[in-house]
Amino acid sequence: MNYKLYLPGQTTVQRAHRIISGVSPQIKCEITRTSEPATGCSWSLSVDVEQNDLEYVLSALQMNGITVQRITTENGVPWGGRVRAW
Amino acid sequence: MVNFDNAATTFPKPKVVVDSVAEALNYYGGNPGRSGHKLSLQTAEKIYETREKAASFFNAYPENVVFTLNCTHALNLAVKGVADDRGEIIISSLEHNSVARPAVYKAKSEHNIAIAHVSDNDDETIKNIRKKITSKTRVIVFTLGSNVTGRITPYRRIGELCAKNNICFIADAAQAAGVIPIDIKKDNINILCCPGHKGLYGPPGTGMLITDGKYPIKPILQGGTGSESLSLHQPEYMPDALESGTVNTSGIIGLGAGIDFVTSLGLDNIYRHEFGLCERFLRKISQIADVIVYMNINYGKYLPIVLFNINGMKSSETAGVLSEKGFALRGGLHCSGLAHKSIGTAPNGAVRFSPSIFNSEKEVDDLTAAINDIINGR
Repeated sequence: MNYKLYLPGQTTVQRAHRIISGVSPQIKCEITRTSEPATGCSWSLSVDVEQNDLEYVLSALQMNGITVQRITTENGVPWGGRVRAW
Repeated sequence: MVNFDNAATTFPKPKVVVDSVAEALNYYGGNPGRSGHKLSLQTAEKIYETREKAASFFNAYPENVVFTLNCTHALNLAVKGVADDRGEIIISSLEHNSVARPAVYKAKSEHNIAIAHVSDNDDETIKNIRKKITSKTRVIVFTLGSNVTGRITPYRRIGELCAKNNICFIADAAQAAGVIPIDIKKDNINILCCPGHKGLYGPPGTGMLITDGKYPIKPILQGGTGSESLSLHQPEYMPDALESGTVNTSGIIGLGAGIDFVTSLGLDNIYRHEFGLCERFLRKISQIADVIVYMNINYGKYLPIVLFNINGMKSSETAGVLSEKGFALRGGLHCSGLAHKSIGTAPNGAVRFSPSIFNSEKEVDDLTAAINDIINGR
């Protein structure tokens, strides 16, 4: 499943990319330029993971001080999952 | 020309730095952070690599590394951006004008400035700072090592003092970065300002502000960041808050190579080499009658700088004659009137000898011979 994680700036997106690649180099993760009116985010990460793995990815980001502004599925539907604590 | 003016900017630059700048200009031509096309993303990746290297070098988050034009730019951002409430700023008696002038500018409207004397005794220096701290003190801006005397200040103890008193510690690492170890977390430095083109061996036009994030910094420039473009307000997150406009791509990529160069050599080895040249130079010129030396140097207490004059000659005149003989040394006041007043060398100033990793013992011996020639030829 492809999810879009919206983050505030390109530098944060770049660090998030490094963290996700560190969690698992197998995860397909790509930085994309975006224009997202709901949050004003200009950058996002396209992450190809199962829902269960997404929660781990989000926890890893949270542990590194990165808060994802918004998450949508590949067709733009907001994702309603919760970040699970480690 | 033999360059002994490396405290102004290091030259020559390492080959890896020159090559990386050329590579940047040839291949990394996109504007980073502005577009989603590959050219822009590839350049942004290279910029991020330098951010990561700097963050690792000084122990910070990559987002908290802000690229600036130079150390002066970083210090202006820090002093003007943090000291925004009514309070007092403490600076040292050895500050460069890049600290003193923004602090005085700020003081005209809102602040009072106190100058703490830097003694040769660290306990005395700490005592002098303590005496200046009042309930209104918000910021202490201190050099980590003077560009005039080379004296390394007790910055770890100053950091502890600031942390204990809830005072923002802005550290001027203009001469120290790339020469002595700096860890912003362990050393309790809230904002570190440094050039990229001196001890880190990057190209001119590069500098950095590195923060631990404790004290928000208001921007002095607003503009395009490639983010939140519909908003007419500057983004508040780092580094976008403080990085408006297109960055110096080739310079920053070159700076990344410079940090790699310094890391691969090791700070201890760089310091030992440069300090050894200073000791050699000092030993030789101390034996020449008519040479006045203004300092003692102790390993670990001083940056690799030697300050001297030839009796009866203005410092600028000595530097001019040495230039004719093929040696680049800087005379005058080194943009640090406070420091020269503090050691009694104002207004004439003095001649500064500042080697880099590329200088050799033979070059030091040749310089000493040239100084002897000047004195004997009078």
